[in-house]
Amino acid sequence: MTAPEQPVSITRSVSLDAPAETVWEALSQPDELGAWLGGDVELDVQPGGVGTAALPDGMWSILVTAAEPGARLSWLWWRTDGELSSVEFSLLPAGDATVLTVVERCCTLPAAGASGGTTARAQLTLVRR
Amino acid sequence: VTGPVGRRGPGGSPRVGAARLGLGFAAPEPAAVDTDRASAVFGALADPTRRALVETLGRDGAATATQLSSEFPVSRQAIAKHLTTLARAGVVAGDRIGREQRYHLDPQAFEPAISWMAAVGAAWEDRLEALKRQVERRP
Repeated sequence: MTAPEQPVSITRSVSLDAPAETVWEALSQPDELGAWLGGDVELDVQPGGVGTAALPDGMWSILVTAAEPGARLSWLWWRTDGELSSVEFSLLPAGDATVLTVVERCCTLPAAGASGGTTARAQLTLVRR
Repeated sequence: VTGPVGRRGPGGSPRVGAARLGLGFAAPEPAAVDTDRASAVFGALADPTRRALVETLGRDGAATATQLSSEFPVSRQAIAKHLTTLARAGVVAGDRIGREQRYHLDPQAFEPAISWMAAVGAAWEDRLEALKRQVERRP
């Protein structure tokens, strides 16, 4: 009974024929991010940054929880009337290509004590107030 | 600044969200996935003891908290509490037998969770395909 508590998650990976630097720009520049997410994104991509994404499936509010240029980006997001989930991107250079993996976890707040969880929860309280 | 269209969740309570960020977007209709129900199921299954209870009920059929507590290293009261949580999420349903509830799995409860996984998985496949086109088009 010592297994960690895990919300349900989905994982998808893609091999991109582009250097990690290029992939990072597509993740961290709001206009580029919006282009491939299929909508308009206004987001300050740095830890604690907040913003919104108007996507085909709804209006998302976003709180960035981690941003390590060229390596990792994670955020919490939720739709206006929906539950919160976390999204984590990790970039793995593979020669001239980059393997990008995205994990989305539904639908719980990060556990207190988990890396960054307490801080994210506090920031989220501020954002949602 | 115009507010969102005032959609309410299934529970009838308005949610805070983008509107509170003061950016004034109206919310388009979200996809047909009941994230409140999915969230309740995921939350209930986040606990390893509750997952083990679901596994046991799936294998053995209906059982009471007393019967289940003989198979678990926790008290009957703890089992009863976990079963109440699972019942609130709709994962199990109980029938009163004498002084106790006899619980069984409700497979329908997993539909919202499965729908969430299918919808979110498909959404990321589409997005990553678009990202691939975008970054590989560059010089």
